[in-house]
Amino acid sequence: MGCCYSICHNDSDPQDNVPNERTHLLEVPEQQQETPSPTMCASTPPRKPDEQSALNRILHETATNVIDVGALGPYSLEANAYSERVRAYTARAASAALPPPIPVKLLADVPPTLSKVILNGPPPDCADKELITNAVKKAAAAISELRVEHHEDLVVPFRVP
Amino acid sequence: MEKELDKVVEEIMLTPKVTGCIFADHQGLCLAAKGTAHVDSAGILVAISEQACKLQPNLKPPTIYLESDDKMCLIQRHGTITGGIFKHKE
Repeated sequence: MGCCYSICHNDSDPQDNVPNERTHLLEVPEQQQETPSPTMCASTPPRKPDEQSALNRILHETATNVIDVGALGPYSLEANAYSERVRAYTARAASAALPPPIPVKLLADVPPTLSKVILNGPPPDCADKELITNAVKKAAAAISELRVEHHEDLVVPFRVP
Repeated sequence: MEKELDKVVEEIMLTPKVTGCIFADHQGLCLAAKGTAHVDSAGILVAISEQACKLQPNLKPPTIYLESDDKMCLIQRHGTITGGIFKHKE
């Protein structure tokens, strides 16, 4: 299009001989310049009505596909038909009743009798508590002392003068 | 680098009836694991201790005992480190 534009405006440009940003760097022969312009210029005007009709067609198709809910009138159902439908739907729903979903429980409640037995049982051993407490303390201390042990120099000097 | 931590783990494993031992950081990254303790359980261990800490946030982190008929698991948090010890019951 840029090429076409420059070609079309070439004649009307008053500063024809003055080099500007639209001036061709290479001289294009007249014949070559002429060849694309007629097809471009000829095809442009008849295309317009086509585009218009195509746009109209798209608009029409879209309008037919859209359901305007607001414009629709209120949907009324007679009492008889309503009760009949209720009966039919309930009958269908009853026949196609799904089995009740199995409840997923990761942690189930302990029955009260069993929970009493557990709670009355011996408490956790103090030695166990000491074991885990000391272990975690020692581990935390050991982890806080984690250091990178380098066996070679971390910075290697290059022989830069 | 982690010689100290390895030493602590070895020491714990020498304790009678202990079958496994694991340590993880606050994000659930396993720092050390030995015996029956699996590396993958580090995240779960940390999550359990975090939930238990929410019970009484002002107090020290609680010690958690998970028991089955013949085994038990002890979980405790200290700072950012969470430790777990697996052992046989009496």
